[in-house]
Amino acid sequence: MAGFNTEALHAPQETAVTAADPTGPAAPPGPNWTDLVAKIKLDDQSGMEDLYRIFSRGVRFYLCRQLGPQDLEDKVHDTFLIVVQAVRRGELREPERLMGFVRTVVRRQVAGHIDQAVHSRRQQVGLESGTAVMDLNRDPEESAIHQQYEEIARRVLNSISKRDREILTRFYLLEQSQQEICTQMNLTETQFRLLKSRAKARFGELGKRRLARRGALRFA
Amino acid sequence: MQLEPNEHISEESLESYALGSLSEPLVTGLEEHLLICPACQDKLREFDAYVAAMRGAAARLDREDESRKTFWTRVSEALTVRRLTWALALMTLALVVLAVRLSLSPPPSIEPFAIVLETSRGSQAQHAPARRPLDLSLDITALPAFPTYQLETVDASGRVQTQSSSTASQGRVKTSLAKGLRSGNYFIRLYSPSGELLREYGLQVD
Repeated sequence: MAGFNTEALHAPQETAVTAADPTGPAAPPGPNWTDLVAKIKLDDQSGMEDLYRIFSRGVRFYLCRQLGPQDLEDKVHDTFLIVVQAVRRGELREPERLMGFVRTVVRRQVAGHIDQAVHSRRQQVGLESGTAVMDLNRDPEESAIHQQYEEIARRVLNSISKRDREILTRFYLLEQSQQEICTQMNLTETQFRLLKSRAKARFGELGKRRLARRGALRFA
Repeated sequence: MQLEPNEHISEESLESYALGSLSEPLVTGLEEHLLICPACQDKLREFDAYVAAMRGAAARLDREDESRKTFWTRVSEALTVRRLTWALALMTLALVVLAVRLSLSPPPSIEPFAIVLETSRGSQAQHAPARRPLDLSLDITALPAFPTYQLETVDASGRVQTQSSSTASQGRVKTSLAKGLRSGNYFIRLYSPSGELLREYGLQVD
């Protein structure tokens, strides 16, 4: 949790986007999509490499977030294959929309996998053989990390007032909207945002402390 | 949401996205940016972890609160005024029965400790246990014979503890100290009926 940047949380209410964070890495400059698409169409190897370099991390991240780590590399490979073949067939009419096109393909991949899983489950109902389900579980290391985070969150929630805890519970657990919570609990938006940011800052702080303690123990 | 080059997604939007509450038009631009921006991917990963941790912790605390509430609800339901009255009445009755039994039952029978006192002051004192009934048997060999004898128990400072009278039998005068004595040194004095001190016996109570 050491990487949590809490400074931005104290900033005034942002719009949907924010300017590049001067402390963090700058966002990647927009590549020339038209050139890239042209290279792929011409079967230029550098075009394929660029496509992979630009999108592989993001595609992997998206697929893993939605479908879990199982067969991830195969899914990433399938996605690129679909994108490249479609571009070569000329299905991408506006090259500058390549980002949107890749996103659409990835989303279709996710939908397809979910649909397939549902379909195979439905087909195998009643059969003695067990159904092959995707493993969405975290590995043991991730589980341990998650447990630690949850313990920290528990400490944060225990350290605040009952009312503040209710606000955060409504937001994170019951998924009530900010507006709904503010109206029902007689809060201003600033108060709400402040509570959220303080809780997150405390979470980051406790996480850092735990990390430091572990480091100290390791080197003791 | 259309992001310009060198722009990142706002924390607010990332949090909403992590919670699944971002509106669809905004999701499109955000996801497109996420595909090519490692920094925003990392931030979203952090948000995902934070949201999952908060959800898990809040759910756990909610369950704990709920079970605590259920417990107290059950207790309060069980303890209606009528039931509470009955419970108190039963408890009072039980206490009364216990008190009556304790008062009526004889004190635990402790066997008296029998001891023969033959020595006088200056000799080695006899030992007896503290707070235990004592059956004392005083040797009156070589003493004048009387129909009765007066007995007196005094502590080390000479304070009288018990007084009694007893008859002699087979060269001994017997007496009982039903309540026993506390720890310390005592002397049992034997008097003639006219009050003349005949002998003194030493007794050490441990």
